[in-house]
Amino acid sequence: MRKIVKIRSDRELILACRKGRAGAWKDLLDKYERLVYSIPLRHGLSRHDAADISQLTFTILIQNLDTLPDDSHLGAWLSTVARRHTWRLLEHNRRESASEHLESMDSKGSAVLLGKGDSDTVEHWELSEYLDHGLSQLGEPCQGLLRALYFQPERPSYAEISEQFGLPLGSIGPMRGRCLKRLRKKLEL
Amino acid sequence: MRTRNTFCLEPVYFLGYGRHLYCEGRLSDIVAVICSESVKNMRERNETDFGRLVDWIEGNLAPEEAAKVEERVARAGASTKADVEWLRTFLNASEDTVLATPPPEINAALVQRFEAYAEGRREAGFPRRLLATLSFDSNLQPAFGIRSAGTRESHRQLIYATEVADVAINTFHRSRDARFDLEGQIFPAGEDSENRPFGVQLIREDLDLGTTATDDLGTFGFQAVPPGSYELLMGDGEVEIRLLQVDLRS
Repeated sequence: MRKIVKIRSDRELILACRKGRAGAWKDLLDKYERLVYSIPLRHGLSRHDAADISQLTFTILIQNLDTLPDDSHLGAWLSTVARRHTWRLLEHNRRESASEHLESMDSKGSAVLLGKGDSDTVEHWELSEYLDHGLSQLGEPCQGLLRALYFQPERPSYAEISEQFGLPLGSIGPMRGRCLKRLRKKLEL
Repeated sequence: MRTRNTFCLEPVYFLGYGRHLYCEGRLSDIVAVICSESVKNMRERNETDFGRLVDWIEGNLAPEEAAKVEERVARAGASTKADVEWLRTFLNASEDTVLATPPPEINAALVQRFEAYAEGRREAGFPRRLLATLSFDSNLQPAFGIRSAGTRESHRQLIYATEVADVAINTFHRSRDARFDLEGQIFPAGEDSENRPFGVQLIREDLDLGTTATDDLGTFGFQAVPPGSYELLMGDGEVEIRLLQVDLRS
């Protein structure tokens, strides 16, 4: 029979999770785990720290599922929690660093602590959600290629991409153009 | 793209750009028939391939080539200018956006953590019992029945409704042994629209004749069912849906 794919709203996800539906929780993770994981990375924390903050953020969500208003915007809620814990860890690291290397603290360090300009605004979060949604609609290798080329904290070289995806080096440029064009179409829908 | 003895001088990457090209002709007698939009027009409007625009905006072109593209873009039509605008916006946005995928262990750990929360939820309360009402029967519709020369000779469709889900049942009469194949699908309704696993029982005169489970699309099936009147019971721990008098008769 024909497969019906439905992207559920936050309200639907919250209600289903409250009933203990494992499928809804998996959908929720699928929808938001990249966005949450990316917040600490964007602030310069390690992947290990980002993993800890992701786990903590979603665990706090589980603890608050029963009291969360039904019409909450999960993206905004999760980003607030993830940011708070990112800042907390940055502050902790800064204090440790300051006590060890007080003299080496410079204005750059302070800028990192405060976040990267516009990257913490609600608008930026919504843009990230929008882009992530568009990327999720792409098949492979486009999705993986664009994520690797444009949305990793460390931007890999074409040679690294070639090795990672098993693609000829010369094909990456043209494929990237075609994939971007597809992404544009998906985002316009 | 439609082709007929196609020979087109332009590289493939032009094709599919906006509207499609339709070129025809022979090597010795090249005649390009332009149906919707021609390469010539594309050039006249100074439109540039999307991939080339990406290279240009990202600064990957040699200075001379970049200057050519820049000049072409300056004189380009609205389509190319919109492409350039989109690409610039995208590249600006991506510079400050990280969308990394967490390691799978994180997902697995969080699924386990949710299980502990969900366990208590699932134990609470008894399942709601719902009696489905028949809302459609193809046998009552003129000219709906499907007949074919295959092994499954005739087909009947029944749709049942409840407040939490609709259930579609398709029955197929097998000409080779006069039995029936029964296929069904559960369509959760309203806000509670998750396709979650249901157990499905086929019952006749209070006897359980078969049990199966829905797949991730909500479909299930029973094969080689003898003719008769059956009851179908489907449940997931929270709701129990009963379909009475599912008649399998030729």
